[in-house]
Amino acid sequence: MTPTVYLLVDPQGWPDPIDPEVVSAILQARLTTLEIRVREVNDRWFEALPTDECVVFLLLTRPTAEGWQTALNGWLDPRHRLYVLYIDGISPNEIREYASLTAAQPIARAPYRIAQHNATGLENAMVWAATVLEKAITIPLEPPPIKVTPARWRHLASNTQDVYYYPENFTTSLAGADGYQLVAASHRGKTHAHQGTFREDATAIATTAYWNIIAVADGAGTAPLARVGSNLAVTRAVAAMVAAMPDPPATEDISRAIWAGLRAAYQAIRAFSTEHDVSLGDLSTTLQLLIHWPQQTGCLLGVAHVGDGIVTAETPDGQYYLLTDPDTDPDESSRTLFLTSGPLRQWLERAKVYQFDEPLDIVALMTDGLSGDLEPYADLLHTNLFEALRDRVLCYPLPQREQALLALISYDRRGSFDDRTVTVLSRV
Amino acid sequence: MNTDEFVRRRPVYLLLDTSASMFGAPIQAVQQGVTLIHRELINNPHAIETVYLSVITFDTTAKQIVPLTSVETFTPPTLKAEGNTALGAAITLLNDALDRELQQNTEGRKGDYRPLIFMLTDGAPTDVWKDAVAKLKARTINKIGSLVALGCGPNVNTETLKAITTDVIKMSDVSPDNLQQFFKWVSSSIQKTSQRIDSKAADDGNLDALPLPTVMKWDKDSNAS
Repeated sequence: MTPTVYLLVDPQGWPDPIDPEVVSAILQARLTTLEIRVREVNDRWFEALPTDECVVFLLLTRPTAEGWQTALNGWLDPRHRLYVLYIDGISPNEIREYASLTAAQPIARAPYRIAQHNATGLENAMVWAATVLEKAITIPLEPPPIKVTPARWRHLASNTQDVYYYPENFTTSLAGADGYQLVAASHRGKTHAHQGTFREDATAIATTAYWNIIAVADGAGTAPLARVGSNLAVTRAVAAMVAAMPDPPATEDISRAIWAGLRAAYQAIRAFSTEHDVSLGDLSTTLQLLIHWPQQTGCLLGVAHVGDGIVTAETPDGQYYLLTDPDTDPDESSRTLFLTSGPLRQWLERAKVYQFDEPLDIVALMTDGLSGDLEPYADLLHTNLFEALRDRVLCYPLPQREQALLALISYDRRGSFDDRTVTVLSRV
Repeated sequence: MNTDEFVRRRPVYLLLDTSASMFGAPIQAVQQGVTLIHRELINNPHAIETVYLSVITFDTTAKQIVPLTSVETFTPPTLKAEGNTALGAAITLLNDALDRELQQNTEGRKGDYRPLIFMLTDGAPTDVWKDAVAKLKARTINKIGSLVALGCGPNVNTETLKAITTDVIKMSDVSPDNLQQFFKWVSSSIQKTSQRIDSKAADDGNLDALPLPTVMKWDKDSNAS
């Protein structure tokens, strides 16, 4: 057992009153592994000496009241040791008495005279006290610093027995209308892998005699059945858009079909919510829809989006277009909107049709797990997305593109935890 | 795939009262509390990748003893209790740090997430603080997300704290155990926000306050619960 160290400080008698806590802090700073107990005392300090095994430092700043010799004599023994520090003004006789009373104890030291009655004097006095303590007792060692190793990401499988199981990764591809090719990949993010939960992104593709059709959705991470919402949304929207195409279609059929897709997705989620008695919020998902209709020269694009993520397109000469504004306020929050956040009619204006006078080389729809990492300002989008797609995905024949696209989006990036999904329509 | 080089961070500033009244068991408990926060964050891969920690202490003066640092490189600092309670100087220092250390939003790129600030004090400020607080509240760039102030002990002036933030917590009995519970709560709150980054919930740095341990209570004008 290390003896307790006490510091008895009389605030009076010093030129300015001193704060015992401050005095003890000076000593404590030199002996961080010891607990120094400070006690404020007066000239009758000897009446309340500690009784446990201890080393006491007494800061004498004025003469002691009568009777201290007897009290101290009865107290001193090998378990109770005393060291005295004093300032000028205390009689040499009194100091001599202290010296003789404490001379017999182990590691005896004559009383220490504090020559300067200022901060420096106090500092020097505490340096002396620290050196005495280092001799007088075994000071506990500073424990070795414990090196904490950072946690690693876990990779836990999703539960294959779950009624609403979806695989961790998903790819699909399709030869589309007018020589275009469609390829899609969806990758479970680090958060879901760490928790062994499900990928909540979804995508679906289809083609008709005239149109190439794509849907991408991002289920809300906070919603327990988001994957059901996102998958319902993409499959039902795509089926509805296919069914909404008359043969042959007219220009205005594109916006009708896009709207039919939005409505089908919305109604499917509402119906599921009612049938299975789960709240709409549990199925929250974003949704992006695309209908691509190649023309003699150029093309028509029907686009709708609710929530974040982007739809972007590039022409053969490198002109690029961002076709959606994510429903987020970059300044204030990244709160986004979901398909079922409000009534269906609020999305009426979201169905848009663009006419391009030149053909589009690549159109990509992606969830924010990917678009958030790309930070889509002009140059970066070109090099980070379109060039990467050409060099690492579209250079392969269609069947191999699925795995190439999945590999492209399966990168590890600090601070990027989300599922990533991208679906690409390309002319090559 | 080449992604954007800039990675958004979730800055967390701890403003700790190290005045002489914190001497002894309280300062040791605060010291252990900072260590506890660090140990919990480094066990959470989400926090490792996003949370950055800084420690500002205030006694007679204020010092940023740990500049904004990643969880992996953060070393819990040694705290010493001495001197007065220069709370105003600490807020001024915080303002400077927010200006200097955070990446602000620019056209086409989102900057750091909003910082979370946790402040602990057991006394009343001994310096001028109102101007610094007004400046903190009036920030238009690198605005703060949440500022939670813990007033501990009988001598704390909660009116001052309420002038600084609406999120004031009071802890009457300042025991090491109680302080430990506060730091545990802080750590859980930080982890909750770091995990929320990809969950499409609000991300304006508002703490969806976790329930407080029983030793503390919210001290708000409107809903003291």
